[in-house]
Amino acid sequence: MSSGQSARARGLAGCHSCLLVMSIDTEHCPRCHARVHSRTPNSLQRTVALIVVACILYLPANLLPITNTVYLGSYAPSTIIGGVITLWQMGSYPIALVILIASVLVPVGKLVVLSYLCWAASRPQLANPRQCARLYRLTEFIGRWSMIDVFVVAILVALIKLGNIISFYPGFAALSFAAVVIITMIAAEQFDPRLIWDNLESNDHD
Amino acid sequence: MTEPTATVSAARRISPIWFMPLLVILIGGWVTTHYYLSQGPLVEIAFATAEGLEAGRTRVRALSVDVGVVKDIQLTDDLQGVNVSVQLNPGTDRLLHADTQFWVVRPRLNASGVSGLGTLLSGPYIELYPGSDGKGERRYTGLDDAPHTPPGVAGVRVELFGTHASSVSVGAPILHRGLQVGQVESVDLDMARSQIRISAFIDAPFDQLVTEGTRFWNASGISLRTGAEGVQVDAESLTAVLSGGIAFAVPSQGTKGEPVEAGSRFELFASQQAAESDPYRFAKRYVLQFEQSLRGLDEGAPVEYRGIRVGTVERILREELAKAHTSAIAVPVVIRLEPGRFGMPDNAESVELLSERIEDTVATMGLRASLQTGNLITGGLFVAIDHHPDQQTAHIGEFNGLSTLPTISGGIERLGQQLSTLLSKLNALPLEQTTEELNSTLASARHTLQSIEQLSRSEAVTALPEQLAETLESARTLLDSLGQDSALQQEAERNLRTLDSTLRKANNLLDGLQAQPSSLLFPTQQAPDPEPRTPQ
Ligand SMILES: [Zn+2]
Repeated sequence: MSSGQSARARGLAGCHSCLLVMSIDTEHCPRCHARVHSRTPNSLQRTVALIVVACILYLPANLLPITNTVYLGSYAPSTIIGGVITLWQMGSYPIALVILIASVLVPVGKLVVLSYLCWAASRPQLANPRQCARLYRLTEFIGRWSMIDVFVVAILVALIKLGNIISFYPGFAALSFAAVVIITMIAAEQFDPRLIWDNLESNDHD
Repeated sequence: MTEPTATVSAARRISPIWFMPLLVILIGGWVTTHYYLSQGPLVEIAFATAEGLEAGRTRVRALSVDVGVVKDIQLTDDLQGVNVSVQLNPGTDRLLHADTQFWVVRPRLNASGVSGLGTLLSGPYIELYPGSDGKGERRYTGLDDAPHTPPGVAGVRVELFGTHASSVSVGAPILHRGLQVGQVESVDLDMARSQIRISAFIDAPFDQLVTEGTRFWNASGISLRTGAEGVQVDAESLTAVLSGGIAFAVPSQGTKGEPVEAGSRFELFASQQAAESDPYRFAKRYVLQFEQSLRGLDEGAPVEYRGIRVGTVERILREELAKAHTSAIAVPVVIRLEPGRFGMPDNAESVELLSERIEDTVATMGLRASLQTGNLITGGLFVAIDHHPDQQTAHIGEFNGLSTLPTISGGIERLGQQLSTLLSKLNALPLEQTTEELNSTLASARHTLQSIEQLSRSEAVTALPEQLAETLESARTLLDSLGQDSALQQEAERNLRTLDSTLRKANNLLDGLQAQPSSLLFPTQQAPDPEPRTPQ
């Protein structure tokens, strides 16, 4: 199966703002005057930097309590993992699984996959571009589900407020978890998938 | 083919995006440092049990203000208790002192009231009492239970020792003239002394009422007394009836003395009567060694000096009987002489003074102790101390660490001696011989009487009156034939009358003999004539 020729190989580049196709040497788009790049500049660096930020924020998101429950006057903070364990012990296996997948596996998986893609993009000889493209599409698909925990907390806090009898308060982890999800999305956005296929081209050249 | 040189060089440039992770690390580092710097002190408290405590949930409060939370609960290495790590809030360093106390507040319900109800919903919490002395520490030992008297409350804590815990429970009131002035904090058994130890706290300003002369007694329950004035019910207070109580007062006979220090020990009497009857705290103990029967001598019997009570028999040292190996076994009796009863102040100096005086008197004036009979019917004994100048000089001795007072045999023993002399004299009399002689006399008397009776019943004697009557009849016929008016007849009639009266008398005599044969020997008993007398 022929991979065809990329725009860059043909000396062409597309404007990022209005998608106008022009010569690769053009500095500014003649239509919208945006800067024209053949590839997103510093794409890998940006992605890696954002992955690092997300990883840092992932620590407080899991170590600090995501909700503080006041139940009959007693104050109970609970972390994400603590909540999963409690639910599992209570026998609510489906809910425990959903929270485990949405709050732990999805963000961690996304970060791992993005890191792998960045590594693959910088090591053209070692990676399989088709596999990389499949992984990239997977990150785009699962990324939208990872905010579920934040939504649950937001709903609990808003709905259940009965003073000292039972109340929920968001913990700092809710904030950092939301930040992890958002920054992972931005990181995925910053990754230029064309880099995957650039390898294929250079491979063809060799 | 164009080489993408420009792109390559651009990739090598460090992107400004790297500022972001740096910023996050900086912020994270600052927040973490600030968090740890602003953390309050971490304190470890040892408790006997972690009942109701939960790591991360149980709060620490001082005067109902949240000051921290339990972080961790660990069993101690010897598995005898728990170590509770408590994270106190920032700025709570000034709550910690050397005398800071921690205890777990749980709901508590007893007769004197309900406390800790709030913990029914919120669960137990750890109360922190800050204290005021010394520098804060990192390790404390928690109290097992909330102190019944909150720390820092002015008052005095005393220890009461009694033989029976009878219905005195923790939280029971301490009463003075029926008013609650304190409470029982703990009731336990002193193993060494085998006594009940009660810790009691008397609140200020009533602590001034607890003086050297104060007596405590068990005021639990209701006492019923029936007497000439009807039934009398005594009860200190409803609380005392329910949970038991202890009352105190200075006995009417006692002296007040100085207010006591904290931790002073008092005896707990079983009743107010017992407390009143023993109103002196200080006493000098003496051992008396009696070589006579102690039957009737009870522990608690009075010790009297010339009829005035000066002390009490405390104990009869029965265990010394087993140790004795000499032929003359003296039973030691411990008595206590109370200076207060001599009119001296009830304190330790008076005890010294009293013992010195007794030592002098024993040596110079023959002071001796003896057993006397107090009650002739029950045989109850008491110890009498008196001067016996005729006795040889004696000195205060020593027995098992106690002074001994010389004794002489008392009244009961002398009486016994006299009785035995009297009995031996009686034994010596020839009673048996006398009795035998008397018996034989009586037997011969009876024999005589029997022969008389036989005689009186013989036919000859009984036939005699009939023969006489026949003779008279024939005489009458003779006289009738003689004629009524003749002098002979008259003479004969007169003679016959005389004979007739004589015969009547003989008949009477015979009748009397028949009824009472002994009247021949002994004169007939006749009751004396009643004499009028003036009533005395
Ligand atoms: Zn354009």
